[in-house]
Amino acid sequence: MKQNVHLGKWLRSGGTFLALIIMCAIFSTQSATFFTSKNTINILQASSINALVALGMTVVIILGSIDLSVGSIAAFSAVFMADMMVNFELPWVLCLAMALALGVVLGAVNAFLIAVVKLQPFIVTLGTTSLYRAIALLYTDGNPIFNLPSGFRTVITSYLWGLPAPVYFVLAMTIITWIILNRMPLGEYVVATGGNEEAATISGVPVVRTKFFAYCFAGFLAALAAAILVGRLGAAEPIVGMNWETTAIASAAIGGASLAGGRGSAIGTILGAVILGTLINGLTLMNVQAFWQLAATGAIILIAMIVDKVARGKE
Amino acid sequence: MSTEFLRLVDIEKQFSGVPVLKKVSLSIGRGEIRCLAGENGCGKSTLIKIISGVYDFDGGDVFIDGAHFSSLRPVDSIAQGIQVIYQDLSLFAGLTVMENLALNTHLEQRKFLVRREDMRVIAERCLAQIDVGIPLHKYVGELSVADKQLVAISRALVNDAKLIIMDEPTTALTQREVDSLFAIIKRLKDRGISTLFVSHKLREMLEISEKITIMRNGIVTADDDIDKFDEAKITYHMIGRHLDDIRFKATPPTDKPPLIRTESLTRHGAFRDINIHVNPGEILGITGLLGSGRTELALALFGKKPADQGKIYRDGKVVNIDSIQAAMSHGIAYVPEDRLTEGLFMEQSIQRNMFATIYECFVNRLGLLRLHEIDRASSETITRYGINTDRFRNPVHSLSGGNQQRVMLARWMMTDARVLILNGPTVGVDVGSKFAIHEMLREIARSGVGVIICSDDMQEIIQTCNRVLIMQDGMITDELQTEGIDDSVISLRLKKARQESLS
Repeated sequence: MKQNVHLGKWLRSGGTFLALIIMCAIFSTQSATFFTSKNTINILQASSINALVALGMTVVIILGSIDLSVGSIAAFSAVFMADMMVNFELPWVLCLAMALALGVVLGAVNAFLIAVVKLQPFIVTLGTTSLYRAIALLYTDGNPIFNLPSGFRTVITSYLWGLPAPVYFVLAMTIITWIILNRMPLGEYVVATGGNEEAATISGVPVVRTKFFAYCFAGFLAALAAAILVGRLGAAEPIVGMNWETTAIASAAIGGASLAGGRGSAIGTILGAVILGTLINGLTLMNVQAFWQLAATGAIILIAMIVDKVARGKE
Repeated sequence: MSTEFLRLVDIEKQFSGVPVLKKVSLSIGRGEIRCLAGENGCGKSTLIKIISGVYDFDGGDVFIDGAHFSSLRPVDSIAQGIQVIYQDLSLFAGLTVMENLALNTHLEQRKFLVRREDMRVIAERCLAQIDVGIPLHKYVGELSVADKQLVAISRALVNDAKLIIMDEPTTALTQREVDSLFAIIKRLKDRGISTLFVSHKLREMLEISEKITIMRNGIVTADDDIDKFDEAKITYHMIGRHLDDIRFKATPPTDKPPLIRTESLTRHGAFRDINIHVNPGEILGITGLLGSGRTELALALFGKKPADQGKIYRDGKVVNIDSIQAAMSHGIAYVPEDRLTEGLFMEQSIQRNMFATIYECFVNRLGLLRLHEIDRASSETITRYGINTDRFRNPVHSLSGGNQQRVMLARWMMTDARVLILNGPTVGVDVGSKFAIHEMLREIARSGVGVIICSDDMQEIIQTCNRVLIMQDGMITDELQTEGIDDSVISLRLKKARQESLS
């Protein structure tokens, strides 16, 4: 009994890591170009958008909640940022900051409806998904915004020590999320609220504040992910971020987060995001048709959940 | 036809090599009311699950109605007329009483469509068996615990039950509801149906059962007619040692204002005109029937459902307690009755459960947690409160009920609470742990904290409180000192209060 709890935790994240290694090994035998530094960078680059969104999603999931609106938050903040840059010609750093702030505000709207009005998270974010997306579409008349300032694009597409800038954003946000979850009272409150909200309330845990934090954090990360994508593409489209929530939830779940709340980890989620990214990359290199890639993604999610269930035993 | 319905002989059961039942024998006669007593973890739940066929047994024999069984499946057990009513009652809250009662019959008949008329007939027949009237079209989720239990009992009787096993049926019932439950058990007896009554509560065992089987650590320590037992003797067989009868005597300092005092505290529809005070070092008991307003009063003092009129004084100064945070900032702590849903994070570690409230006191200048200090404090607290675990990272659900309650107490005592309010502090806790928790509460009071205990366990009140208030219909109707009286005095006063309110 003694080491069980700790051992189990290690087995779980170790297991996710092992799955990633096995996957890489298989792809390496199938494709000569898979196991190259260039392709590894490709995978990290491609996974970084989802990884950021998934980190925010992880916090919300640990809280025992869900945020379906991350993709729409991304779209709204992306077109807002681009509009400020292109049509108002404000300095791009300011525009980026305003876009991130917008993400926080949109998250706060979710949190307000959930924590204060006390509506169910699923339905609230289902509603705001449409709402935020509609605003983004109305705002731009459905058209993309081009001609972003080159300074902004240069920073997002730059390389440092051989790695693209987005990877460093992910690294930084992973560390921050990890610190919040593991080294700060706030993280304890997130876990406590997700474990048993009633008990958290009665223990004096600031439940409302904690929910605001989680949704604002998810909104912030969605906006950041959107900004990076916009910088890479060189255009802000109001239809950006479609289905981001699904991939983010899948990454968190593969990484060990429980949708019932109270359990999940930043590092697990990053591994989950990289697994999904690697899968798509490897299958593409093997010339597997896109429809089959989708099937493989679905299968890997279900397999991960079954392995998780078996590994945890009767618990 | 023999008079014996069920006989277990030398039953043995191991879980991964650890013996939990060691040659346990038990017999139940037709129409017999037998009590199965023992502390948590003594093996009584395992024994019930063997009788109901949920667990296999490793050794021994089972005889039901004279027929020998070397193994038992749930279907066998049910076919032989054995029905278990578990604590959670296994009812469907989203279905009506009628639908709950008719469900099993319909499942057995494998019907594709159901007629509401058929359901009504089945349901009425069920309820008629125990002669109670419960509205058939009400949703079970809306019923009181007592009524839910009646639904569960009458459902158990559908399948021609011969033995009903009730797993701690009285935990959530008021005294009056317990009385009517007992009346039903006696009615079942008259019809030749046996009852195996599993309980913690000594008084109830003595009142209802004819025979008693007491278990400790997987063995039967006593098995005899109930007449040969009293509370002290049952306790002795359950925990293997004698417990003293104790009264708590408080000596509050005279030069200090009460820790907490209320003036005409009122919350509409819950309680009114409450004037109470608690001095440092006192343990004040508040008792009253369910619906008397005692829980609401406790929640008002803790700011969860604030009062709408009147004043609360802390250390002689008026304070405004309109939220849980406000109550906590004034050093008021609350331990809820329902640990599982309101109090603890069952899946989370013992450490997180203890520190949930005070993580913010353990941060460094960067706002990061000082983990080593938290670990050290966890070990210390576990030792100080005698929490039986070797590792504070284990989930709290790995602990027994008594130890879980200690975790709750530890959590609040670490906040340096000055006023500790407990609602049913030992509900669902076994006798040995109960005694230990009471001793902890006395210890806490001796350190100068004011303790308020809301409870309907008269013995608990009498042994831990120095003063007790009786509530009825939202008002305080009586106050007495516990020194020199026994619990029957309080019961009598309670009854009096009830009669006065009725007339």
